[in-house]
Amino acid sequence: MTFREGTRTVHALERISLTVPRGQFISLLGPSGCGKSTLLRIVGGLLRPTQGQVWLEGEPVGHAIRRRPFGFVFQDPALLPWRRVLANATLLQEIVYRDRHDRDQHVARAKEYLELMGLGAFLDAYPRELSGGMRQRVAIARALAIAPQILLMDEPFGALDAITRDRLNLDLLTLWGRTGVTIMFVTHSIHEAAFLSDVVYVMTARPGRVLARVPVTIPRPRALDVQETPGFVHLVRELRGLLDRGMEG
Amino acid sequence: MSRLVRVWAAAVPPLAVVLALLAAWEAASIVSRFPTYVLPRPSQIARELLHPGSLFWTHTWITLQETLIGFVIGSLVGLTLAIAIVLSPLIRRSIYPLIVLFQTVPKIVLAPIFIIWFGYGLLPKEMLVVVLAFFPVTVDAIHGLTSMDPTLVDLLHSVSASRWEILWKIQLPHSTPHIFSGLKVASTLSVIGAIVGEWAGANGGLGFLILSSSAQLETVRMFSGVVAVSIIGLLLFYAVSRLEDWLLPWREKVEVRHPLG
Repeated sequence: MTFREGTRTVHALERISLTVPRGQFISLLGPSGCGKSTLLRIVGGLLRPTQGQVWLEGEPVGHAIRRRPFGFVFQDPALLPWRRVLANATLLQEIVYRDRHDRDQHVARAKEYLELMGLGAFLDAYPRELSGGMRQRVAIARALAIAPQILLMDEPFGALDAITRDRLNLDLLTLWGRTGVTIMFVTHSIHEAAFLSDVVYVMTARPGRVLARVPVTIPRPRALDVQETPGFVHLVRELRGLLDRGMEG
Repeated sequence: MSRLVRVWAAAVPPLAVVLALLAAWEAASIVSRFPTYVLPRPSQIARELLHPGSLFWTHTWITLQETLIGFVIGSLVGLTLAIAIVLSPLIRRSIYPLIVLFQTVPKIVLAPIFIIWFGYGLLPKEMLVVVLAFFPVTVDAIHGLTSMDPTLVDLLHSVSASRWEILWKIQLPHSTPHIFSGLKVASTLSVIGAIVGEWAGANGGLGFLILSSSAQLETVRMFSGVVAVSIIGLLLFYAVSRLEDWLLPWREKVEVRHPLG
């Protein structure tokens, strides 16, 4: 898969082929510069590949997105400072549901997600009054508020401290269970990938390719202390071994 | 501390300095016996401004109209230009360089030309104000409209937002603080424009009053005109600042702490 950036063609990804079943949580794990974000942007229609295709249930992904957009969460929550929390969470709804009359019902959904993540008391707060973790929660609620089939997350918790990150991982699993959305999650944290996913794809750099597909068999629901179990420790060791092999080339 | 107390606490020290300076000026002009036509006393200036039947209100009203009308039209022109330049690559390439080039012309030289074109009334002064005021608004608005968070751009593209939705929901609100800093610069330029416009030819207004008083060595009246012009400039700037606070409650107020405590 290549794509064009300006006038230069970048050979960013090579021979990548992956299938994601509906409702699964998959992670793309790899070092910086391995093209995992690029892959995510191609899947979400933000980048057009010069070669290669993405299909969603038998339909080219471009068509599917125009009918029903995917959700995106980036590392930067990118909230609007002049909107309060609830109005931030409904921003994308205003665009996606612009011609619909059942807007109130959708707003109620955004509110419900915010409340599920403990932001019920902050609906009228401005973003500057929130902590980094709370801002990222608003970004997640905003993405899920448009009821996407697929949620694409690009290192969403990369800028947060370890404790906040743990809490957000749990919140994310709660919302995933509630909505049944399919999640593609990009991370460079081995623990995060292992804790959250059904399947981890380990990637290598330049050109990016998938080195291994590692299914995660740890039962759900998962609590934070699952990370001390032998099964989890073994999985982390296996993923680290694969990453090291990828670095050596 | 209540708001009122804070405002007072901030206002008292500079007010005290101003009053002290005025008192020193008054004392100095009494002691030195400078003739009034060189250095009038503050008390004379105050009397000139405030005495019953003072002509100042008429002249202040004329200058105020020129300033306000020119400022509002100039700001609207500036904002419209900025939006057009940001939305249309064609306008950006064709008109924007001309505007920047035009900015290097010292625009007060246009005042006599405007007198020929637009007559002797308020219109040529208002036009000069418009010409002076629009540019800072255009430049700052363009800056605000184009400095968008790239993550936000991605997010809006991911839901196929239209050009107008991006402009209306994101770019315009995002650029309001920038627009207001342009408006503040424009407000001070507007007063200058009105006065210079009157100097080029007028039969009323504070600029006219100052110039004609100068010819007659009416120094007290000249100084009174300067005071009145300054008050118009201050009030306009203050009004723009208050409007900003009122329209942008989400903005983080930056508390300026003095390094010495």
